[in-house]
Amino acid sequence: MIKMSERVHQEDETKLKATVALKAASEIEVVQPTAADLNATVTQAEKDRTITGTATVTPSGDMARKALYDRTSELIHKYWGGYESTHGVTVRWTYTVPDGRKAIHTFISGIMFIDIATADKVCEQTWEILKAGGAFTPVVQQLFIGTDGYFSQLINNASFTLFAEDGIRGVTVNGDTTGHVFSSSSVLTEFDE
Amino acid sequence: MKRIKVKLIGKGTEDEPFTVNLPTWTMDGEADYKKKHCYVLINDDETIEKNGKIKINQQRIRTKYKKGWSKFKASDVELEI
Repeated sequence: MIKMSERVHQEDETKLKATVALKAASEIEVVQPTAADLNATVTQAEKDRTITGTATVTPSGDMARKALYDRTSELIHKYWGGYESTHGVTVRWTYTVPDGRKAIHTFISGIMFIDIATADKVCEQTWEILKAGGAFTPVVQQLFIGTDGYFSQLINNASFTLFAEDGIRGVTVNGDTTGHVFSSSSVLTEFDE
Repeated sequence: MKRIKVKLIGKGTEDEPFTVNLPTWTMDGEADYKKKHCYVLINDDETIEKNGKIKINQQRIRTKYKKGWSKFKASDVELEI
């Protein structure tokens, strides 16, 4: 009767013997560097060797593309802030991408201070985008006070690119009888197509 | 940026918000919803000076934005300050 631990030991010993036998049977050749190899020096002729011929560089499409600084980039800041009492849906600022240009939109900030615990009616601030030929649709960022006093916000901070004729605008609405502070801010990096 | 007085259009509803019929502008201060006008700031290159007054450069807006703005009329938008 062999205990399990002894059996494992026996198996390991067998494997070890087999490995040693394999190594002994293999032909291992060790090449030592000669004295000439170790003392070899680079001749002057080899040092003076030059590469002849004409180097040819053909820029690919990507290499030929203009760098960003060549694309007359311009930073545009759109901002509206104010304290206003009751007003209907009002566009506060609009930006339209000019012909032959593109623009990356970056959301900067949106603030709406609530002066009372419970709003009478909905107060809202949104960013809306217009795709060329379509209608303005929300939303990049939406701030919202409900009639029962709750405050909610929907935030999308992802930057995105607008193309020629696309637009973006900041909108406020205050259905309340009390004035509130509104503030909307965006930055656009405009550049050539 | 140049400050000009313009017409406010729309009804203040989701479908027809109060707005200004210009491609790029920022409202300057509060709007007068009863008289339907407001002051806006527009890019310098979209304005022109006539008789010492700042006016909308109709031709510049037409060529700058093209497509949806190729038939833009400054007289439909601007008001005398």
